[in-house]
Amino acid sequence: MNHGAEHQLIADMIDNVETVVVGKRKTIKLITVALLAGGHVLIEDIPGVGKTLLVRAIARTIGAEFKRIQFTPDLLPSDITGLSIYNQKTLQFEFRPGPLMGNIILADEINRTSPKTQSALLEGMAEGSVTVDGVSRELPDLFFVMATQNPIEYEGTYALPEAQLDRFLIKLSIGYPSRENELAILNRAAGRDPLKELHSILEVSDILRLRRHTDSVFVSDSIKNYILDIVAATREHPMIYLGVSPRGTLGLLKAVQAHAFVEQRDFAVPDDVKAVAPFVIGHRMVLKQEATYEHMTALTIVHEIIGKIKVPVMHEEPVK
Amino acid sequence: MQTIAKRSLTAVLYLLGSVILWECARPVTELTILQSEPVIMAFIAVTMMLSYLRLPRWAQGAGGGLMVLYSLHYFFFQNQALFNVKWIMQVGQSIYQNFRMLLQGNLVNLSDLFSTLIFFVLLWLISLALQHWIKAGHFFLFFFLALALLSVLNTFTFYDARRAIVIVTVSGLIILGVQKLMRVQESGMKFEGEKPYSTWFLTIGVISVLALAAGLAGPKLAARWPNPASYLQKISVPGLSRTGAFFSAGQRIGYDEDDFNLGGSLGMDTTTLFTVSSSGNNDYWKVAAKDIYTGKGWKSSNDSYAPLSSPYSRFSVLNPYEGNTNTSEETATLTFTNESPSILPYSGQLTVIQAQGKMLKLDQATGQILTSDGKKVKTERISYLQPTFQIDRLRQVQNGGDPVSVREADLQLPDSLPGRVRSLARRITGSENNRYDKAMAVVNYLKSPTFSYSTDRVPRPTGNQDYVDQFLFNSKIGYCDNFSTAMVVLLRSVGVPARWVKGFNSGTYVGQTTETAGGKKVTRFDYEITNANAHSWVEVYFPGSGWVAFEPTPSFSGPDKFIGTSPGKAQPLPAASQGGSTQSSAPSQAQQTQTQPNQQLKTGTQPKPIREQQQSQSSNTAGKAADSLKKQNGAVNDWRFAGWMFAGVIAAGLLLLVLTWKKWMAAIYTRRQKGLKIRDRNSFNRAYKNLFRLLRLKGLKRSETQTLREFAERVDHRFSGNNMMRLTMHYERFVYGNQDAVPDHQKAALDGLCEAIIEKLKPAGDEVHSNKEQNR
Repeated sequence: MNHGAEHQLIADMIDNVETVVVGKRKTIKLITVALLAGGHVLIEDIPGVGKTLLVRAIARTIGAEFKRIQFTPDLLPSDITGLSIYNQKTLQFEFRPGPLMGNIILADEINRTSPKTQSALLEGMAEGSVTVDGVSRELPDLFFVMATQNPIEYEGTYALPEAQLDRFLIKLSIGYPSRENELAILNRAAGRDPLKELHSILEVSDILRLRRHTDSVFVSDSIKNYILDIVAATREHPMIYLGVSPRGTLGLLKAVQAHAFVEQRDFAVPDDVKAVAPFVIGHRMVLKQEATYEHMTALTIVHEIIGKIKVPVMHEEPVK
Repeated sequence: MQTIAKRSLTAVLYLLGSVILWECARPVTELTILQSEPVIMAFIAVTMMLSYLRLPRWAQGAGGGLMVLYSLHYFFFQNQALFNVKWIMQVGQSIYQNFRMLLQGNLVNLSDLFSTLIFFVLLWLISLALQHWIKAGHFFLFFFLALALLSVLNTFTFYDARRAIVIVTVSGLIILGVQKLMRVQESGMKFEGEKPYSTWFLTIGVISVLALAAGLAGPKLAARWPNPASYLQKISVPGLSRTGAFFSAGQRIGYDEDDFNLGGSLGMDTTTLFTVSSSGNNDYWKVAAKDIYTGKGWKSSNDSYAPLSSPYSRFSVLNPYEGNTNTSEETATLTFTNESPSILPYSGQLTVIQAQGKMLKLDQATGQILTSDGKKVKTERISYLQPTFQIDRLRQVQNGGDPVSVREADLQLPDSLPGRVRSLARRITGSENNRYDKAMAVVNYLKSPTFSYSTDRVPRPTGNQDYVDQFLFNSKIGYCDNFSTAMVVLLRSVGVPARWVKGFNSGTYVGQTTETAGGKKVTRFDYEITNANAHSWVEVYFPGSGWVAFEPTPSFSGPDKFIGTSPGKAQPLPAASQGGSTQSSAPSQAQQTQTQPNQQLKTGTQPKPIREQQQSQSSNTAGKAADSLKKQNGAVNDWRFAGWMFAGVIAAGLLLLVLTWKKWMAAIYTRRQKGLKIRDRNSFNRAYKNLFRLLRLKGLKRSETQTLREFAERVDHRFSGNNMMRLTMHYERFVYGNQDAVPDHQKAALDGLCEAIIEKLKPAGDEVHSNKEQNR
């Protein structure tokens, strides 16, 4: 099992994106993890930190069809799924695909639209198909949604329900760039748009192939048990009202595999679990009210749990 | 400029370090026989100076060794030239003998020379350790130990260490401050301000003064518990109850100034104190006589020293004999060894005494003679009258007729003396009608099998217990002090004036020389007197005859000679040769004492033919008999002592192992690692685990929630490299991946990685050291 070429491809891809989005390698990696695991990403951050730029850079690198949907309060489901229009020449209804029918979708400010429209998006994400006028239409094989949302305490937003958050594999935030990186951004802004200089180095088929390889990443029983330990701990934690669902566990496993693959390995190690767990299970838990009083967030609790679970190390086989 | 400043700071450190070392070593000059401050001071100064001058190691070693030898010469061989092979040979011989004693577990008999040698070697080692701590900048441990030592000395001995503690505290604080300054400088920090140094030193000074002032002025709680020293003194391990003559405060057989508290066990000490060449024979050597019994021991009524000048007979204490006693004049030369205390023993009635022309003084109460300046002399020449008492005349003495001075001084008994002692005295002497027979009755009673002679297992009177009462009624075991004190007290109880005399018995007969002086042939008998010959006996006053010596201690013969018979006495005079022989028949005297049945009973030895005795050339067979008794006791003690020693050695070994467990465990794991070749999953597992154990010894322990990589990162950070991470990434394939065997091309690389990691672990100490060397 030699994945040298594939590993190289991923490394190239991350490097490529990083030329545009400066100093956010960890974020890029996480998004790649989601891409390889077949999940979707929710980026929660304030406006202007480069969410759109990041998504567009990734789409361009892959050479995939990129669609952007700006969610507004008056957006209707048909605005994103597409709709059938009566063609007077042919006397038939013709389906006009909406922006959801792309490979890589940037769903900007997803929490500013009505729940009805949100559900349409989420259905597509979950089922891989959308239903328009009673006809179920398949989405492309590569269907990758990167949704962004402003932090929910902002006004005029519709917070995503927990059940819908569960459909995102990874939730992350980008954060402010460091001082040096911001300086680099300033220097570069004087020139041309860096996105235009970005070449695509993969094709959609490559991504699909990489996904198949990701599925074959070996996860030993000890690692699986480690994952289960973590998940179980979220269900028993005194500050957590609702722990991670089995879907979350499955998602974590897939993310771990993808992370191992991104790290150029064909087997998973505990470090993979530690690296992705906060982003995979953090948004799947519902905290108790007490947690907010104690200024605990989902992330701090996940870190606390990881800090308590024993890492599987030595091989089970008896020594000597 | 910087280096000059550094050198001068180092000089300050060395100077203050020497001061602290000196304050720690100084108690030795008060508590032991090494009573010369300049020599120890010079020793410390030279060893520290050698280190400060950064001489090569061999030069430092040679310098230190020479200083040890010089100090030994100063204390023990001053009568020989410094550059003389002879005394060095003696040192070597002493080392050999004492090592043998050490191996036999015979700690008690180690010579002072050897103890001194060990002391100086230890002092040297401590000085080396101190130098290392000064160089390495770790001074606090030494500082702490020094203060602990002085506090202990202050508490448990009579050494007053308060001044030393103050000096050590101030010096130590300054050293710590200066070391901090040097560390700060080495770290490359720049001082700001105009006079950085003076500010720094001012701060150090202020802190020292404040600490001191706070300590001195602060309120102090009263002690919550009684002084533990008194408790510790009661603990007595047989055979260890004495720390050797080396420590003047120790309990030992041998001459001791203080008789205030008698009792407790004694160890044997055969250190020679002086030799006697005498025309007389079998004389006891008197040092002092004491008259006040306190219930615990003896003291003299007052210390009134008078310059000693002839005629000595005007001092009543030096004029013991009266008209009825025949005397003959004898001469003797006493040669003192280095170990002897400052004493001038004498015998009989002194007529001439010369101690290298020194002025002498006399304690009129005890009869003790000292040089006016209290210093020791090498030789003492005396002439004295040796008495021969007439038993018939002695028998004529009833109670009464004693001069007032004798009645006042030599009948005193403490009010606390238990009544049963008086009753016993009346019972023993009740059937006798004269003073001599009363005295002999007491002697015979004490020499009866009821009482046994021993120097160990002798209890010390506790609480209000009377020393004599304890011996007579409870323990019934003891040595000369018990017997002689008991006799004096018993005699005084029935109105017989008696006094307690201490000094030395006649010692070991070495040989005799005959010389012609002034046309007359004079035979001189040579004796060797050791610490083990320290002795006490009894003198009883007989009006008309004077003070007569009696020997109540079993297996000892008395010094004085008697003429006359003692009809009807089953137990003959132990102290006298009954034949009424004259003083010139030297060895025969001893032989006759030897044949006394009483002594055979005591010693349990077969009576030996006289001829054989002569061949053995021991005139003091009584002493010899005592010796064999001591040896029997000693054998038991030696075994027990060997047991203690063995246990001690094992305990010390275990302690050493425990203290150094990290080092030897690391050595074991390192060795094992060499043998662990990474070939497959199992061998990799073993090697990796072993590596973890090694790392744990170095303080790197993986917490259970840490992944291997996180741990490897820490290890690599600590030892700067990436070997651990590389090894770990390989290892992960076996733990989390599905790999089972190491591909051939990786085997060597993996083993190499392990070795590289161990290599970084192993020389950690040496590396630091060599860095330091380079820095200098």
